[in-house]
Amino acid sequence: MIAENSPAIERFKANKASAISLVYLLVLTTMALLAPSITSGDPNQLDLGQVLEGFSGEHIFGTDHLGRDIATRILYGTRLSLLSGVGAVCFGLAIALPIGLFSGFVGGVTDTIVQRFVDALFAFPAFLMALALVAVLGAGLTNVIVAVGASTVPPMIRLVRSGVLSVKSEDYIENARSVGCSSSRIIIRHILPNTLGPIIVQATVYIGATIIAAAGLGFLGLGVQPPAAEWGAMLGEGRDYIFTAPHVLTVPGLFIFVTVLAFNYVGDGLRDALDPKTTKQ
Amino acid sequence: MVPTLSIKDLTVSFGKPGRELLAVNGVTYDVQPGETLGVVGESGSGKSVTLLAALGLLPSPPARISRGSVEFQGRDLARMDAKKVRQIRGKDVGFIFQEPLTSLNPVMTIGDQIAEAIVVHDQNIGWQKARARAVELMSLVGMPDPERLAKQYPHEFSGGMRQRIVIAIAIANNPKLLIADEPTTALDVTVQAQILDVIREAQEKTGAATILVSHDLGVIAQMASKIVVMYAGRVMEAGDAEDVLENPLHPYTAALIECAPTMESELKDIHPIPGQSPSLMEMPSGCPFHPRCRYRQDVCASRVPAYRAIGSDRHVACHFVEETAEGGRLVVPAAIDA
Amino acid sequence: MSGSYLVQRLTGALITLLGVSIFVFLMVKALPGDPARVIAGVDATVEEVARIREELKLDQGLFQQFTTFLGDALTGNLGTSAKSGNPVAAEIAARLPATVQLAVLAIGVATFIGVLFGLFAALRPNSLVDYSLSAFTIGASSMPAFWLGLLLIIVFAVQFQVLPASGKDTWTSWILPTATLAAFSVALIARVTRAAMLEILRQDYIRTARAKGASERRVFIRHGLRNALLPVITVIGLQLGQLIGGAVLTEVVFSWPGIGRLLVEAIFARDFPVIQGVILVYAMMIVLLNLLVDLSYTLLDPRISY
Repeated sequence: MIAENSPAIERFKANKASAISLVYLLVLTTMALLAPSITSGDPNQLDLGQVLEGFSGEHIFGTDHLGRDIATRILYGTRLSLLSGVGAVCFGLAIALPIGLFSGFVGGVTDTIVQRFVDALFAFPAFLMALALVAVLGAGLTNVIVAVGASTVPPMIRLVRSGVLSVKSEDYIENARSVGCSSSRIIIRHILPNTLGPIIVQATVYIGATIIAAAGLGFLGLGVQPPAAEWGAMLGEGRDYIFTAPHVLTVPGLFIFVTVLAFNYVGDGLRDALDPKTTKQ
Repeated sequence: MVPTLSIKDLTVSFGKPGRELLAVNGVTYDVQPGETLGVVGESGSGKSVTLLAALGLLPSPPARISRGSVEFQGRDLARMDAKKVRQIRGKDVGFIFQEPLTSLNPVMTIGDQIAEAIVVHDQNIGWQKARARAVELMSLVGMPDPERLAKQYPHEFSGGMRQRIVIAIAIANNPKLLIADEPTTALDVTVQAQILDVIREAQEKTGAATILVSHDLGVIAQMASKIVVMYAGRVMEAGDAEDVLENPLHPYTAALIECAPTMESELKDIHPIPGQSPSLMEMPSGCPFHPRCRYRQDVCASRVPAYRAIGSDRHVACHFVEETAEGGRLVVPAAIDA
Repeated sequence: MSGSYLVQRLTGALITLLGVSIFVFLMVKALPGDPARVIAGVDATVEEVARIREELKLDQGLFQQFTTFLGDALTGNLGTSAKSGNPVAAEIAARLPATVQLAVLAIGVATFIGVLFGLFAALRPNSLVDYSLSAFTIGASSMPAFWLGLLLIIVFAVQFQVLPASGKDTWTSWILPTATLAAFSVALIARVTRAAMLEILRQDYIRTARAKGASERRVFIRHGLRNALLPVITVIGLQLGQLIGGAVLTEVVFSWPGIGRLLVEAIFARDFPVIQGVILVYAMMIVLLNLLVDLSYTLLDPRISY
């Protein structure tokens, strides 16, 4: 895919914001995975004697309306938020990959029809699509991943298709065709390996958006269900205390914001590193 | 007589002081009222940049006039307030550009684009009168049915027609000076002659002095009464058109004439100048032409030849030109011809 | 561009509407249990369920059912709310103006501020305005609309108590929802305006305008901005859907009485006729707004014909 110390890697390193963001995301992921060893606290431990407490040494981000430690909930919430964001992109890609590969490879009328449908779906807002799907599927982590993931399918098809088109006319594809390889063999053995890397990298650009969408569903109460600690759900639950204890809202929101920001910087950095043509001046 | 435009020692640089590149280096020439001056040179020779800089049309930064003066009817444009220069531009000086396909605003009718040239210099005339004048100008540059065409947009016209529109804009205010920068380069051969005719007529009607910039010696020979030859940001030779073409003094001018295709010449008779014109980044020492010059001597690489007068009306920048009774000639110890 | 531009856009709009109708129609089929019971609602009597089965021709083939559904929808019959028992069309009609007003206001504000901001950034590339624009752009695209809304409430309604936190009673209650909804689009429109302006200021016709002696202001506005508007309009068109999707959360945050909140309430109540109706109306709204954008595009660019 990308050779060691290739110019792409150098370009990515040179982009300070992207590099810092990557470090932040690695630290965040590690902490989320190691959550039980980092804190002895239970994210769902109630303490009705200490509700809506402010920042203190004991509770660095304070406590929520049920006296639960917000820092611990943020830490455990990282798992759910990252999982739903990354999972949705993976799900979307899994659906879009075969459609995009086929449409791009076959071309002609089939491709035109698929593209028309993709264009038409594009006009419909992704978040509304996710909402409608959740209405049918019901709430819960898996359903959120499916609903948000499905809403990313139209742009993903476009992504995969453009990847296919960029290698389709390469000589080795022509060669494979001329020695009589079947279409499915060409797609799986030649096109897929040569486009998958860039496609996956491009797909990271969408993780920020899927995290926001998943958190949005959580905020509405249609995402991961309470008492599970999920960043969006924490915001939703804290809404009633906006006048008395705004920190129950600011802290989880800040984490969503910073994490999505980091994903956007990393995504932009990767895209620029791989395709210097699109780099902003 | 006060020249219409008099450029003296003009130097145009790009980039920050200290690390700047000279696109134009000490250029001097002038054009008299009613006269047509041809400026010839390869692309990158600074022939267009000189004039764009002179009239404040180069983005600054990065470009700036670092030395010299540009006098338009005796007033120095290089030291004039940008707003005053703007009042001269388009009114007293009209421009014709190389790319007729992209030189017109795609979302404005051509009538309005011509009328705009009038309105911006005369607040009192009003759009209605200006549009009527635009229609007159369109028929002047040979456009049929101007009333109807004035309401159309640039994309509806061919390259030649668009160049006529650009000419109409240039002469809208009866300018004293017309600057045509490669006006026919982007056009079909068949259209080139027509456009040159339109320019010639426009010049006769307005009595404007004209500066014709081109890489095409053939075009220059047809139109100009005086010639300036530029190379790598400097003037190599200047003089009366006939003299320069018949008796080129500078080796570069001679080489340029030799490689110009004429009606009679066949492909094998064309001798392109070996090598390439230098980039701004890697300007040769001494005479900028010496790496490609077939007569080069040691002194050429070490000293920049002075741009000096030969006879009454001839200037040249070469170490080895001598003044003679017939005008001048090139005297070199030995040609190192291949 | 070809003369079939509008035809192409109209076909696209029809496909969008048809696709959404099929989706909405299949929605209730995908649910476990009897569709008639799903549509009638949990509290419905046996007679009501039977009446709905009859009305929607649920005992006939799928295609027959779909044409009935589509025919009803096209004649404005979106069914009856399972929760309130009122016609869905009436419920939506009561809430639709609030949503449309907010969306249109937000688009207007975003366009005005975004274009202005982008213009300044293009005038002075690499200046403070320019840098803060790029920071603002990436910041705004990372900011969940609902969190921005909550933050604005915390600052302006809780801390300074200068603006109301919810409702639609006074003109001041419009400010925060509009700001929330417009924020993301402002950033995007500004960025596109900047890029388009910088690109256009390099064009030959800008030099022609300067050569005419036109003032810098005239060059910028009449020749620069006028041409930059074309890509900006395209982006606004692409933005509309996203803005309207984001409006659902904004309505919930500010208790705005629009169809977005109606949709969320209906999802909680599992009131499927309302869910179906609202989604259809959203699709209609987006298609209409997009056609409006396309139309303005053909007006702005003489190179595009019908």
